[in-house]
Amino acid sequence: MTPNQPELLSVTALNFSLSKEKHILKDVSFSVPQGSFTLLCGPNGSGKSVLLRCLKGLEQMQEGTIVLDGKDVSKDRKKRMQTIGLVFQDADTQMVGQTVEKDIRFGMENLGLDLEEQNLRLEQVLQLLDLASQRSQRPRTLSGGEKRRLAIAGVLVMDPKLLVLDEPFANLDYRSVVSVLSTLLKLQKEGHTIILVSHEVDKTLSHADQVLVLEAGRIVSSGSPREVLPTLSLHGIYLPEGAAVEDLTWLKR
Amino acid sequence: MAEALIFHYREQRTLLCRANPVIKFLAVLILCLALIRASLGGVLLIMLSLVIGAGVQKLPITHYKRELRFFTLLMAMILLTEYLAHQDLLLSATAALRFFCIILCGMLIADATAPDDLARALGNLLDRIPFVHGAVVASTIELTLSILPLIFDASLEVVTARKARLERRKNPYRAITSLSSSIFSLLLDKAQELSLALEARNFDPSRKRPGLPYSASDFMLLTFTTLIAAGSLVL
Repeated sequence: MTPNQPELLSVTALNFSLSKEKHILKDVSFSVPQGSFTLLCGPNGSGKSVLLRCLKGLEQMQEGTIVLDGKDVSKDRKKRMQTIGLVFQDADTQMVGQTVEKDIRFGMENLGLDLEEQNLRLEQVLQLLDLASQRSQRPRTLSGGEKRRLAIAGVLVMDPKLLVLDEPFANLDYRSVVSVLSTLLKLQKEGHTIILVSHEVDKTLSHADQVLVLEAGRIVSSGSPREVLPTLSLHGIYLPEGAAVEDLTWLKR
Repeated sequence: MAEALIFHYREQRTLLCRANPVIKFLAVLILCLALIRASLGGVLLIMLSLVIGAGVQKLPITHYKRELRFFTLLMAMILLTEYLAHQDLLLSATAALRFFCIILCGMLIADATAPDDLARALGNLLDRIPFVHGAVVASTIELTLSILPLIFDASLEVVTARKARLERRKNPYRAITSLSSSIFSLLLDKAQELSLALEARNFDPSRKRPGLPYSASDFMLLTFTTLIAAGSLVL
């Protein structure tokens, strides 16, 4: 990411509560530059997944403003649903198609794209995410990393302006983590803007352009990986002792 | 792994795989109707064509070992009961072979038809009926198909976890109730996640989805089936 990129997403004072007593997100404000890789981390129960769902429009926030690509989409749930791509943590529950190809086509059919456009996007995504040889395979017979890439593919074909991933490395072995992380970095190089939610910062911190730390529903720390590194362990995030920012990646191993 | 057990469809470049599911369904109907009236010669003709079809399709008979044992037993029962009822070996053999032909039809259809293609084809057909939302029917079938493996996997998870904790219930009523509530609870969670994932991909059940187009393969299959059916009635 080149410095001083325009903002793609700006969130101001987002509040979400389940009831009068149970506040999940409190005054959450942050911005995401175009083409950046933002790491959103925090301990379990901090509200990370809920924040993603509020951004996407799957949960109704009580207060706050969301500006996407210069337009206020706080009240335009349909716009957010169409322009923000969300990949959930459990890849198995996102699979709908009987084959890899049909699963990827599913989202494009929902958008009403014509067959020619569908075929074009399908081929591009299959090549980009290295799934071309598995196109006729049943999704549930794929490996963990392949399933995660399929889940990403299914969302990517819908051409979202912002790609948000919720714990994409959960339950993956080392090889699968490397495969998914390499894919995400490739997507960023292609110009996609990515928000990645993970509490396993040792896998990804060195690749992030900015880090947001969420704890008990509030952003308690934000900045570049170097700025944020000394404070991470104070907020319940594990770090190998004495690790520098450059060490915190699984791609180097 | 439940997926491998439930769905037998294999993608191949055969006439049967290329044909539209509605035409395949129609072909099965024609053959079944012919089987009702056909004599032993006619049934043998239909059986021969189905066996040739199975050969062309390279039907993996060994995958159906468990089911075939059950069907073979049923066939034997039909043969026996028909013989006891009519004391006519030819009549009994015809009845048993008739049953075998229907089973073979079913196996061929399952092997050559993707379940979601069948759902869409049926949906597009039902859409032509006034006041029937074919697209919604097709979406419901497709979603049910995608949920079925989840149900089996969730059940297996729960049962295995309980076995690992040495659960032993002597009272079957309590065992079933306890198991069902765990499985149901797990399925509700998974269903909620699936529902969110569908919403995130802008799913609309009433949206019409493209099915397989009709082609020359369909015309060939229908013609061939009709000729076989007609031939079986003549013999």
